[in-house]
Amino acid sequence: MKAAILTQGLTKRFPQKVKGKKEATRGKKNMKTVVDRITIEVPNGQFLGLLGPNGAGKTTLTKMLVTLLLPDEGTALVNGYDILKEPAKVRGNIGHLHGETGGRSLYWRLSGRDNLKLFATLQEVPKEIAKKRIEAMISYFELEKIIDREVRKYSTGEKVRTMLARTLIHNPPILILDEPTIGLDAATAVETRKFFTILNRELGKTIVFTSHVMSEVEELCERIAIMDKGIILADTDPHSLSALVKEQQKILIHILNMVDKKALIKYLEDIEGVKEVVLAVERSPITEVSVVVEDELKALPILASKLGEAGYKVTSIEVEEPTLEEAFIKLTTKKRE
Amino acid sequence: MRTDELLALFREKERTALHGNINQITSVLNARLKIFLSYKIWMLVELLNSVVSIAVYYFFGVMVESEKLEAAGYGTSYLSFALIGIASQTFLWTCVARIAFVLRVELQEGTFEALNATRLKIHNFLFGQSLSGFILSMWFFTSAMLSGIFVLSASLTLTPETIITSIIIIILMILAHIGIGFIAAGGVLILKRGDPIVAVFAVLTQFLSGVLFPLEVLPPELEAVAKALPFTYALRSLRFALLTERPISDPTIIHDIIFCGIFAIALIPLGIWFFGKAHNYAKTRGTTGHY
Amino acid sequence: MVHHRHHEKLEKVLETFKEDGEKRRYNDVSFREKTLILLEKGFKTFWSYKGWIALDIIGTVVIVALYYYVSFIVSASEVEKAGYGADFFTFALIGIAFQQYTYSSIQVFSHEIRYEQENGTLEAVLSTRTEFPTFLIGVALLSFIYATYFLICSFLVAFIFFDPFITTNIFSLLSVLVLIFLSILAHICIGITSVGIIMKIKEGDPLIWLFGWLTLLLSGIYYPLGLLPLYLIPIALLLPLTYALDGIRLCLIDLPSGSETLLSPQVFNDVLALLIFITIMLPLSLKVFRWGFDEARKEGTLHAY
Repeated sequence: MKAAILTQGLTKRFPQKVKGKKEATRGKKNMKTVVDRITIEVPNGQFLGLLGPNGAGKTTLTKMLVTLLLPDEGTALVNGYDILKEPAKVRGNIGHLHGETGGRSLYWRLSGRDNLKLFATLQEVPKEIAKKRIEAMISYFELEKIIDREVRKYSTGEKVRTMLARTLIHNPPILILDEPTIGLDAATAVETRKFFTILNRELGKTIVFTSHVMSEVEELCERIAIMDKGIILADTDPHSLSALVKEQQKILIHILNMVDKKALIKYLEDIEGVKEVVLAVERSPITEVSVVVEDELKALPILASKLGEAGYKVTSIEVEEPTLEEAFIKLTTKKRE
Repeated sequence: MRTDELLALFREKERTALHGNINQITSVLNARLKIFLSYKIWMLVELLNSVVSIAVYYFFGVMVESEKLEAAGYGTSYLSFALIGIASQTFLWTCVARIAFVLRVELQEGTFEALNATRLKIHNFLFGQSLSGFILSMWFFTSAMLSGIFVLSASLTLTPETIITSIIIIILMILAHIGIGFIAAGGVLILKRGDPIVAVFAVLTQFLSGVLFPLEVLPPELEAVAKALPFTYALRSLRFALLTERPISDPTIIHDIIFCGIFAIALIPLGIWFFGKAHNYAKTRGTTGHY
Repeated sequence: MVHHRHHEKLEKVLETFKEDGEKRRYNDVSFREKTLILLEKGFKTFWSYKGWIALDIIGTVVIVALYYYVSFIVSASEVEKAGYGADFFTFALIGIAFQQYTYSSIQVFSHEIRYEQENGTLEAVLSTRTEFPTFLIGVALLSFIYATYFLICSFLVAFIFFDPFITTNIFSLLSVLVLIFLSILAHICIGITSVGIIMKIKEGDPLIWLFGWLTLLLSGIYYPLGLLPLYLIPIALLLPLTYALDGIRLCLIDLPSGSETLLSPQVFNDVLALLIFITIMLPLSLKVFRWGFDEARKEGTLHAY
C-alpha cells in the first residue's frame, strides 16, 4: 500500500529579519531554517497529529504539501504525486483548511452556496456530483438558513462550517487541517473534531491535523508528531506521550492564612523526596503551593503530616494531574540539551 | 522583564492621564503619518504622478488659443491656468477623501474597534485623520506646483503677498469641503464599504468648476450650477491671486473667501453631527468591528 | 429524534463521498466551465458594489463632456496638421476612451490578484486543482467586459450630446476591431509582466505606474505627437498605445478624405508594430510571471500584499 504522504528531506529556509534593517537580507548567514530536512511517512487512512508551539514550522510544512510554498530542498509525494512535478494533481488530492486565516479564505461578498459552487468547479468536480454533495453538506452542517446570504454576514461558526464544506467539496483522500478549530467556541470545536473522526473512520481519509493544544491532538490522533524549530522531536502515540508525563509528578497544597512564604519554601524543600517547590498563586486567604516529588504516593502522607506538625493550616492536599503541556515542555528542553 | 517587575509597574498610581483633546488629535495624526511613511516609495510615486499630470498640459497648452483664456481674465498661459486648477482640485479631494478611505482601512483591519475601546473622543479621531490627510496631500500639491514652476516654467506671480493670499484661500477651501469628508466617513460606517460621495463631488467639480477651461464656455444652465459650488470660487480667487496678482483686498477675492467661510460654518458641524449619528447607529447594530 | 436525523444527514454526506470514490477522472470540468463560474463569481462580487457603477457612469459622461468644453478653447490646427481631421473633440474622445480601455487591460491582472490577496482568498484558490493562469483569465474576463461596456458608453454619450466625427464605413470599423484586439493583446503582456513583478516585490505596481505615466505623456492621447520635442519621440515609438491610437484614429475618424482601413500603408504599419511588440513581449511576460510566482512560493509570500 502506498503512503498518503511521504516527505523526503523537506527543507525550507526563510531570510531572517535583521534588527534595525527592515528589508530581509539575503545570504546564507541570515537564513532561518523553518523546516529542517523532515522525512516522514503517513500511511493511508492515518490520523496524524502535528503538534508544536507557534513558529515550530507546522504551517510551513503543510503549505509545502499543498504546493503553496516551494521547498528549498527535498520533496514529497502526496498520494503518489510529486509536489514539484505534478502540483495540480497534488492539490486535487488534498483538502486544505488553514484555520488561522479564519473565514477570510471564502469570498465574503458571495453567498455560501456561490462559494461552494465556485470551489467545486475549480476542483473539477462534475456538476451533478457537486450539486448533490453541496446539498448534502448544507443539510449536514445546518447551513440552510444562511447559505444564500453573503458570507460577510455569517457568524464565525457559520464561516467555519462553510469552510469545512469547501475543504471537502472535491472529496479529497487527504485532509490537511492547519489549526482548524482556532477561534471556534468549545461546543462547535467538539462537533468539528467529531466530524473529522468520522471522516477518518468511515471514509478512511488520511488526516494531518496541526495544533498547539495537546489535549485536542491526544483525543483525536492515533499518531502524534511533535515539532519544534523545524524538526520532529518525537514521533509517538497518545499513550506513550502520557507515559512520558508520569516521570514528573506534582502535589498541590492549599494553605490557609500563610504569613512567611520563604520559611514555608525552606521547610518544604528540606522534606525528604521533594525535588522542587513552586510557590504558585496566592488567592487570599489561601496560598497554593505546587511541589515536585520523586514519588507522589510516598510523598503525600509525609508532606501532610510534616505540614501539620509545623502548624500550617492545610485546607487540601492532592496529587496534581499531569498535563500533556508539561510533557511537551520537558520533551523540547530535553532534545535541545 | 520579570513578572514581579511588571506587576510593580502596574501597581504604580497612574500619574498622567493623556486625555486632553490636543494629545488625542496629535496621537491619531502621528500614527497615521507613520503608517503612511512606512510605504517608502509613496512619495516618489506621488511626485512623478504630479509631474506627469502637469507635463501633459504643458504640451496640451500649445494647442490652446490664449486669446480665449485672456478674455476670461486669467492671463495668457494655459499651463499656469491648468496647473493651479489640477493641483488644487487634486489636493482638495485627496484631502477630503482620505478621511473616509482611512476609516475603511481601519474597519477592515479591526483597529477602529480597538480605538473605540479607548478614551479617544470620536471628533478628535476625525480631526486627527483630517489633519494627516491635509499634510499628506500637501506633498502632491507642493510637488505639482514646484515642478510646474521650475521644470515647466509656468508663469505664476509669487510674491509674499500672493503666497499669503493663496494660503488663506486654500485653508478656507479645505474647511469648506472637509464636512463632506466627515459625511462620507459616516456613510462608510453605515454602509461598510467605500463611499462614492466624495468621488462624485470630485468628478463633478473637475468638470463644473473650470479646472481645465474657463467657465464662460459652459452653457448658462451648467454655469449656474457651477456658481453654487464653493470650489468654483476658491479656484477663481486662487487663479486671480497667482496669475494676475490681485491683492487679498480685491472685492472678488473677499467675496470668494466669505463664500467658502459660510460653507465651512454650515458643513463642518453638519458633518460631525452626521458622523456621530452614524457611529451610534453602527454601535447599536454592533457592526463597528465588521467589514 | 434529533440525533437520528443528524445521523441521516451524515449518511447522505458520506454517500456523496463514496459515490465517486476511486473512479474519479481528472479534467471532468472544462476550461469553459471554470471560466464561466469565475465570470459569475466576478459579476456577483461586482454587483455587490453597485454604488460604484453609478459613479463610473457619471465619470464617463463627465470626462467626455469635459473635453467637449475644453475643445472650445483649443485650436484644431495641430490635430489637422497631424492628419486626424479638423475636430479636436473627436481626436480627444478617441484618445481618452481607448487609453482608459487599454489601461484597464494592463491593470486588470494585478488588480484582481491584489483583491484576492486582500480578501485572503488567493491561497484558497491556489490550493485547488485549477492552474493559476486559468484562474487569472477567468477573473480578468469580467473586467474586460466592463471596460468594453464603458468604451461603448463613452461613444454613446458622445454621439447623443456632442456630435463627434465618426466614420460609418464598415471596412474601417472592422479595421478598428482588429486594432483594438491587437492593442489589448499587447497591453495584456504588460499586465502579466507586472503581476510577475508585484508577486516578487510587494510594494506598489511600478511597471504599471511607469507605463501609465509614459503613455499619458507620450502616446498622443491629448495632443498629436508632433508637439513633443524630438528627443522624446523614440520613447513614444516604444509604446504600443502610440500605434494603436494612430491606427484607430485614422480608421475611426470621418476624415475629409474618408476614413482609412487596414490596407492603407500607415495603418498597416501600426498593425505591424503591434504584432512585433506582441511577438517579443508575450513569451517574455509569461517568463516573468512564472518567475514571480515561483519566487513568491519560495518566500512564502503568496498571500502577502
